[in-house]
Amino acid sequence: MKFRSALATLSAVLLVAYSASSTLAEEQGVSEAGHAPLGSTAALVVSCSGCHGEGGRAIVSLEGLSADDIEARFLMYRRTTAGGSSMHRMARGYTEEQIRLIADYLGRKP
Amino acid sequence: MSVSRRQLLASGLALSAGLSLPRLARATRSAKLVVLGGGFGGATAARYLKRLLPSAEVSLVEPNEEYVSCPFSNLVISGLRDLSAQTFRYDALSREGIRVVRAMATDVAAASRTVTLSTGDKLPFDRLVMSPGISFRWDALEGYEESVVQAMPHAWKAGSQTVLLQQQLKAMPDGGVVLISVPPAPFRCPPGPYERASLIAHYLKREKPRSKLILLDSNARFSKQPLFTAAWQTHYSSMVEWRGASDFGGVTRVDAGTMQLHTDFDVERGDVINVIPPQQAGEIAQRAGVADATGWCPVNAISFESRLVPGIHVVGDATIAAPMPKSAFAANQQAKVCAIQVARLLSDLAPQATTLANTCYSYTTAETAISVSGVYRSDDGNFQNVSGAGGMSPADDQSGLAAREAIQAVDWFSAITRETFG
Repeated sequence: MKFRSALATLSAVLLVAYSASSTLAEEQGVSEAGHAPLGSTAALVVSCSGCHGEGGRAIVSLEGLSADDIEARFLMYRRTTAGGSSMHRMARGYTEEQIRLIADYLGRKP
Repeated sequence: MSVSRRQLLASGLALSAGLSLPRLARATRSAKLVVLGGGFGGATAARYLKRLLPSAEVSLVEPNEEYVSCPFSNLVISGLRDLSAQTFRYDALSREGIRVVRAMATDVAAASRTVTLSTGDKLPFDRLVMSPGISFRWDALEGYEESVVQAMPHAWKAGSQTVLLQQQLKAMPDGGVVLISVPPAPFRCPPGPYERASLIAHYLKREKPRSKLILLDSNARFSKQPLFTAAWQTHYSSMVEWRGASDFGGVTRVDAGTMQLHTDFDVERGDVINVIPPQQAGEIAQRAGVADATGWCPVNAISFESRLVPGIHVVGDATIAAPMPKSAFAANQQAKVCAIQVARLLSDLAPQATTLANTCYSYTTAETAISVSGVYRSDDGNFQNVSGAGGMSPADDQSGLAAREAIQAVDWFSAITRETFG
């Protein structure tokens, strides 16, 4: 009996602990999904704000650009062999898939 | 969370030693996060941690009320910019709920997860992010000690030293000699000494055209070397001379009394002497045990957790992050990635490798700049260049890129300081 009740308490505790942690995770937007603040795309996107800012003066503000606009420009930087700017040189370090994820994350939501 | 839940959790801890419960339980109370150092790395880390974990208690420990930015300080030295345009406060961070603690961290006890402050107070932490910047190795260059920095300013931590060097240049007679001593790599801002030489030459050319500038360099080659060399040739002709390690340019002894720098074979007398001292990670890094025998801090490139002391993360100039340079851009970037990984760890998610980037702009005149960029992966816990990406501005500038990069640099400064300090 004693063993069973201990086991019951343990499962209850585990359940509560699990739900408590997932509640915290939800509160803080924690998930593995690409667009979550702690997801893999968020970590990629933090490279952008050092130059492109979050509003205000920047090297080309991305404000108001759609995901498609951002993707098209980024891809053009990546493709152009003649381009010598810093963005040309950096764009070559990103895959098309990464560029799509970044553009989706930063693009103006319709 | 209700009290009964807390109690249930507490009893669970007792019952389930060896399970993963303690970590989950710890994450459910508000985490205590401490950041040391309010520069580009530390201030950014504090802001991102608070943004990602709003319920966490985030403290930023910084002894100074204001931060003076090293990027763009070479423009101040050459009289092109006011120091106030480089000076930032932490008011925005306070408004965001970050506890800004005006004190020096004097010790870090990793075992008890406590930071001791110069005020005597102790700050407990669940995770610590250190962005201690650099300190000078006073023992590494004969004759160079703290009392010498008035006669031979370093101006490698911006502020009063920046202004002092500017004033000395202003007071120097036409026909004078300016010496810049460059320490062995690694040091903060790899292209910095050469940008400084360019902008001082820009000032001399206009105000004191019979003067000369000599770089005495402990290194055989340097950042953006072909571009700087070409710019010196184009804009300053014979005014700038660079003497590298293969020409025994490295300074071995300084004499503040006679205003002389000694190399292995020569002695140079200067009217203005800028000694950029040999460097290592900020002092608290040595005391916390996160610096190795090189004086710098080895970190896991994915999480920025110290390889020497678990629970402590290190970002910015203090880290061993090559090929990422010791730049403000890198510090800001590393701080953001580090904050995400710390938040993941506190949420019981494993840190994830990512792609990082860097660009450093350097002015070659008041109106032209050059840049070097890199893209990096952190996959195996070490930083690696992404091949095919990065590199310098093109040497053959037919499109007027140098003029555009001078403007991009201003916009970069504006964006990154707003992101860092609000």
